[in-house]
Amino acid sequence: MSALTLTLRTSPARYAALPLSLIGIAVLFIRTDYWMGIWPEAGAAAQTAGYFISLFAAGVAGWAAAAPSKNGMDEQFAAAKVPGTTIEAARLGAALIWVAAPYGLTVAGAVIATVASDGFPSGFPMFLSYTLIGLVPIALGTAWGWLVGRAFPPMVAAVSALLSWLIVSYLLLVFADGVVTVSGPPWIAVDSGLVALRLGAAVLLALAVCMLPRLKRRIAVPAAAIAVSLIAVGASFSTTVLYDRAVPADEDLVCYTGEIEYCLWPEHEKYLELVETVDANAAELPGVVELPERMVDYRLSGEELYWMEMGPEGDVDKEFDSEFDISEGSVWALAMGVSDGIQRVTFEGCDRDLYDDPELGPAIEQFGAWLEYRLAGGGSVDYTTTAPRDIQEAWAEGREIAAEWPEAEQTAWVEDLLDRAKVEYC
Amino acid sequence: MAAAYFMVRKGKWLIGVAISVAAVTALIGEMTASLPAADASGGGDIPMWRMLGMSSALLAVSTLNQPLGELEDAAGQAWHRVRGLVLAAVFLGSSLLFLAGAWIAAGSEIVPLVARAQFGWLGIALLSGRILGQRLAWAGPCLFLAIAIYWGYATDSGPRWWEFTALPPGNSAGAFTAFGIFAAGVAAFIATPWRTKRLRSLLFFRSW
Repeated sequence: MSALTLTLRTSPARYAALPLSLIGIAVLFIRTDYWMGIWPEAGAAAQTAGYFISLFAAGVAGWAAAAPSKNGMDEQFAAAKVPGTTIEAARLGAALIWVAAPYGLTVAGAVIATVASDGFPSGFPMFLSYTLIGLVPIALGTAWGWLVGRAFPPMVAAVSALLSWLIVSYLLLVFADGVVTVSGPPWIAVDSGLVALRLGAAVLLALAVCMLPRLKRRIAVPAAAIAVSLIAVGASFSTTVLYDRAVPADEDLVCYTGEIEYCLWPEHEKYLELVETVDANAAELPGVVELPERMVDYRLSGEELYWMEMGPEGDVDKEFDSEFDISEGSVWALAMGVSDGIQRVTFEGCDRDLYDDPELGPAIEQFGAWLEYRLAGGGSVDYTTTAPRDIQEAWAEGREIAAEWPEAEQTAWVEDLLDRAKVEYC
Repeated sequence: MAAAYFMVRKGKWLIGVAISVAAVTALIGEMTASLPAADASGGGDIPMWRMLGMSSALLAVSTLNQPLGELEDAAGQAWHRVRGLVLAAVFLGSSLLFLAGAWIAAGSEIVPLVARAQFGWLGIALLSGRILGQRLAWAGPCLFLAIAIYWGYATDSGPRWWEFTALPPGNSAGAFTAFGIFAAGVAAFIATPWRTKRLRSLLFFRSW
């Protein structure tokens, strides 16, 4: 233990701890903040720092690994009473602790931000799984950087370690699953066991690199160990760690009943306020607009039925609740989802040609946009779209109707539209 | 002397790394991966060649390391000339190799973009070498890469004004930033203690 404490105090990586902490905190907080209050999203937000820290970790590891050679200490290390592997393991361990500490600080920051904003909702184990995902690039980057730092001459060690890690981590991002996740929705689960396996493989690589002797003789056994551990790393990254989560039983969902019954993932408890707001707006819609009985959060209506992808023209023969997807805590996303649900119920059983009608097709787009605007409570839309020009124009008209026409005229317009559609096609 | 200077700095390894990076860029440069970003879109698609853009700057600046320490500190004019020449030669050589790799990977439209970015990267590397010490010169470009990936792209307006590694080739803000940083880096490089003192005495009309 004293070897570790000694190397902790003298490791060149200790100077990296403060700058990397600042980077981690910046990556966590200088971004959209919808993740505060949702444990899996908070975990995903914290683990993005892990990737960026790993870039520096590789460079620092390369530098620290080559430092004894650079200062001409190779023979002293080789002649030491303590086995070379122990010395290297202590030094690598110290460097790893110093670059992982900023990540721990970032994770703590995410915990504090979530608890401060929303208490302790359910889903904390998901947070921990994402945190583990973030630790993997740091551990692997340090091990890889140390390997390159030992193999290359000290002059180019740090630069080569950084560049090679950029390439390796990029290849992992392209070909492996769950290396760095971009968001943490509650309908995606993490296999912590497989992630822990990846971490173990990284540690194995680190230990194999430590076996390299300082004076570069008899490297057959360490080289074989490194080769085996690299294969282990490759194998661990060929697994799938992110998978679709099973739909929880109805009692475990978080529900709110107003005009419509809304049921959400238990981790989305903080969105209940948003749901109440939209429901209050739904209560003020003209009576002629039919409201669905129940709407559920994304992917809660069944394992195979991804309703959002099918849209309102989807398979109407199956019995399932319409879904909404409150992406990034946006009230417009919820309003759009509820609007789609209302449209589905309103035009249930209607002929599909309704949407291709040259007059009624755009009118229905206007209706959808009008609904969305009314449900969201007005203001300007917070999303950008690449929809065709004519559809965007129809939406703009629908929003204008909702924003500017008097209530009575709006009701008359809606009644007229629904009458025409139903008479012709339903 | 240039040969000895280059040999002490493991010249063959530098050339080897430059060739390897160019080869990797040529082979897989056009791959894209989704990297996390701060903007609402959650993640951006970054092509491989943008990640390796700083390689020639890093290799060039690594020649500024001093394996012979105090001996080189006491060196005269000729040594300083060689230092600058080797820096420029390694930078230009590895940049050309990298440009060739990027051209093979992603086509000729990005060549002016990458060429402009090389100067920006060298400027950042020289500045961080001056501030943090030459052994840590790689930390500045690494930090800029992290900032550019995470905060450099806005969903509605594209790359931000300072993101010279991604702005289109004709963009004036990108060119200004890249060459401005390059000029600052060169100024940091040529500002030896001797020249700094001379400048100070000229400015304040005092003899030191």
